[in-house]
Amino acid sequence: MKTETLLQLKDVSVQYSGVHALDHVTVTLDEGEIVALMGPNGAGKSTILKAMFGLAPITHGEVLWHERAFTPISHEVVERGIAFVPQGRRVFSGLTVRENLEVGGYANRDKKLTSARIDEVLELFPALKTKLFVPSGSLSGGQQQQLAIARGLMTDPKVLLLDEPSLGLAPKIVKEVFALMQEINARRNTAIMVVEHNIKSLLSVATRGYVLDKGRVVAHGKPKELMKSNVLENVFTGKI
Amino acid sequence: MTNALETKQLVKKFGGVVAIDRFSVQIRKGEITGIIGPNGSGKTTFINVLTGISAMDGGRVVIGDQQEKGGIKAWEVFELGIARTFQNIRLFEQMSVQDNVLIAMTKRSPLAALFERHRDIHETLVKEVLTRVGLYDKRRALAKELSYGQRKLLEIARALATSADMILFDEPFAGLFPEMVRVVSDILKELRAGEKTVVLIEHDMAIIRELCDRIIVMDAGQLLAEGMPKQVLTNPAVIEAYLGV
Repeated sequence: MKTETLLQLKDVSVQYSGVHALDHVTVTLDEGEIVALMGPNGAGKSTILKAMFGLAPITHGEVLWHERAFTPISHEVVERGIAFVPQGRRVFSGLTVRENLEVGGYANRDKKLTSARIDEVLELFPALKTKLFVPSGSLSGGQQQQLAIARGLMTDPKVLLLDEPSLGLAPKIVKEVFALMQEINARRNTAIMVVEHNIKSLLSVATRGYVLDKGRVVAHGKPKELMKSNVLENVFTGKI
Repeated sequence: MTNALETKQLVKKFGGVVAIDRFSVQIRKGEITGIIGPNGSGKTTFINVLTGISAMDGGRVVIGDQQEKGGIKAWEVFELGIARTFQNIRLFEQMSVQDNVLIAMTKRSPLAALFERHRDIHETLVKEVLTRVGLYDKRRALAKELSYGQRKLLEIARALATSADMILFDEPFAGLFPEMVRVVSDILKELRAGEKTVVLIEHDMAIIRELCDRIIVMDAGQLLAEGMPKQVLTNPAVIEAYLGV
């Protein structure tokens, strides 16, 4: 049975101040997949996620949801079932942990459902349980990162876009986050597109991967194929 | 070996929460000291107290051979020869990469620095530090236009430009791709070779093992363990609290 393509960037270009952050890039995320985006700093990985979420100025190409073109506008994208956890743990620092989670569940339009979802995500991040009524700005960096991921899960999304989820997390928690990614993917069939520098851990959970350099896709394939080829090494050492 | 810094029974509270709890450690001069510990154990708060971002609530601190003090003010950090980078990057977003570095080199006000005619020595140093972190080609770009990793590198360049004797790095490797990890790791080794003191908060144990002369482990604001990487990273209490099985 053919799996359905949920989300796609088709021949997309993005420019910031005249500089090509993405240059005619095509990437797809199919049902049930975990897709890895890899490449040097500034390669355009985060821009791919932003373009899918309506946060990057697309100058060419289109975004497709269930193979139909649409104009991504952030709040509408959330209602379609796409959640984005941005890099750099952007929590609402003046709001408590619980309030942050409630904001994440806004698109549920159902207080009881949001409340139930808070209980569910807290099971995944027990460290946040004792901090529910603490302003999130006073959490440690790693705890804020956990809150950002938890907030992304509040709408029980079909697609989860994760930008460096392991950033700033202790080794014990990093292992848990990768295990969690697999669990969300397996249990809820949530498709995940993830940017991550922890390549080894990432490829151990990914079903497919794209390698980017200077705003272009330079390789894509299954983790084993990418690991066997020299492309990752070449990109990271500047040989491409 | 002499100490670059020593804390005695350091305490920091946020409301009723004790973030740093009677924390006494010594940072040796000319070494790379790693600080590790679970999220929320007080690592960043510790260097916030040492750089005047947060006031300490108890204890004493001794910088080099100076007299012990009951606190460090943000404005005196530069004079004390201390520089730092931030985990949550703090740059002047609307200013160019080059101007972000120039500001770090001066102890005058940021506004005065903007209108100063920079002497050759400033421009040479800017070129040197930006080239070192691979951002010289981006010197005219605005800080806000950089990617996350490039922003981290700019933070490091700013710290290097201060010529401080002790630099506190708060997760400098997070979000960097492998080639840049190597560059930053070489920078830290060069600082040590130049007898600078480096304090490194980091979660990547391969980097900690490779770079650190000594490690301090924090847990719940307290000292859990300290010593050479080999000893500390095999300590069952550290494995239990931080590394996991």
